[in-house]
Amino acid sequence: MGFKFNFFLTVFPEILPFLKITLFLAITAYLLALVLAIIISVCRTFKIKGINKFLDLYISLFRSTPIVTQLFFIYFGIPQIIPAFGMIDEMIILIIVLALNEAAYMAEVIRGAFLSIPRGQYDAAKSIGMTTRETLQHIVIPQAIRIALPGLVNSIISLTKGTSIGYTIGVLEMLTASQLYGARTYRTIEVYVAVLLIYWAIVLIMTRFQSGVENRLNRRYS
Amino acid sequence: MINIKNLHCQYGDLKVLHGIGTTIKKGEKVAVIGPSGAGKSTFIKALNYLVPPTQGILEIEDLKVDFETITPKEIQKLRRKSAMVFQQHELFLNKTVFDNILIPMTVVQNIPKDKAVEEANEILEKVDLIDKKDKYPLMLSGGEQQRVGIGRAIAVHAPLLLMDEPTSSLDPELVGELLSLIQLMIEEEQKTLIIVSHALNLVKEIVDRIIFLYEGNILAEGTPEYIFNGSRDPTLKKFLYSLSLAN
Ligand SMILES: Nc1ncnc2c1ncn2[C@@H]1O[C@H](COP(=O)(O)OP(=O)(O)OP(=O)(O)O)[C@@H](O)[C@H]1O
Ligand SMILES: [Mg+2]
Repeated sequence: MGFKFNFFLTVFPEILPFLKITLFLAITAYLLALVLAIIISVCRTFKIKGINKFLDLYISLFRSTPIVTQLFFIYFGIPQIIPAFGMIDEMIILIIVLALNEAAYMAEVIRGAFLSIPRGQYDAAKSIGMTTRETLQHIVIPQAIRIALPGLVNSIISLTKGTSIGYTIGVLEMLTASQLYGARTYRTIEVYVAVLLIYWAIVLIMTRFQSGVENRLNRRYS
Repeated sequence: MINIKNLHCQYGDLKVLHGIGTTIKKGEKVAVIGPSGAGKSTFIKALNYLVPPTQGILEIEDLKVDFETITPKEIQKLRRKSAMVFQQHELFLNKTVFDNILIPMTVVQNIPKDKAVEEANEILEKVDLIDKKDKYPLMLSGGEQQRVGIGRAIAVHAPLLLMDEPTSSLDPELVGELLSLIQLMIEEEQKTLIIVSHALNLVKEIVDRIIFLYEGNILAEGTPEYIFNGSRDPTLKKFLYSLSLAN
């Protein structure tokens, strides 16, 4: 058998179109996770009773169990109790599970960023007469974003890789596409080398972007 | 005029100020001295509600607040009456030197941008930092940061300036220089000053009155001359003696 380089080259045009879907899944899940994470971190910061207990449970559960288990639970498990759930598109289920999972991490990143703003910044803002809204808008949020940003960019990287679990429930993303192509052509090594290279390249580009952003922010401050 | 009556502060169960009162004339410069833990910072921060007093009445110019019934609106008004210079500078880390001075005028006082920019430049000239205007606070030395802190406080345009050990994080040789700058800036604008400082030998040259705070009570107050030579309060004498040993 061996590694057929000519065949290897044909893999890229076959599976690259599905990169669009992978990125679509990652970005959609990311945006949803970001909104969730902001809501969660606000609730936890203001210690809203009742909700807080529930959020602790959710964060603990999603951070301490394998994501495939979570996906199977929602995709295969829940429809047994609520049959209508079975009608939902697997792509949507995947996006929701990815988002719920990543939001648990992102909420902690955001909360940590806000907690790390020194008290003196608030005092100084109050002392010049700023309202709470002005303090948040001009002083606290810009600084918190700077601290949270590296962690938040990390999440998009982890989501991009994470979309590949869509394979387990038949979402036609890049890994599923390459698996199908491999099955059709009875070749595997070329297909998986190609798909690895594509994931790798995408993540490298994102990492570059991340350190670029970090350097810019650090240069600005000190 | 500033009138403080029966000011009480506590942290949890720890009572720190036990009903302090005094009256300060417009333009008067007052130093607050006393041993560590006496409540000096608490006192000065109570005046702009960074520490919420549990009881007391405070009058600053046309505003009178009762701390037992104070409303959020009144807190906001009270904070517009004063500006504060902090021991650790507490400049806005995400803002340039220039924006640190601009922000009280543009965001809080809604002064038109061009007028505020012009005045920010004037203030920067006075504190001698015009060539550092585009730097961020953490790029400056401690002394430079504190000059920005003073500039920012001036930009608040408040009648009362509160300073909590503004020189104690600085190198000794900078202290005199900074106090002269403070004196220059406030003389010009006829501001009232309340300053907490351990640099007594220098501060006594710029203030009209000294308040000696001890365990949450005012034990003595008067001119620097009175505090250093007139008062017979044994606790004050002991405190001044320990200070002279420290220097
Ligand atoms: N945020 C706080 N929470 C609880 N206790 C506090 C707090 N701030 C100050 N205290 C306590 O209140 C008392 C007075 O503190 P304060 O900071 O007003 O003293 P100070 O005269 O400024 O002292 P120093 O010269 O050391 O700055 C001290 O016993 C201190 O431990
Ligand atoms: Mg203090």
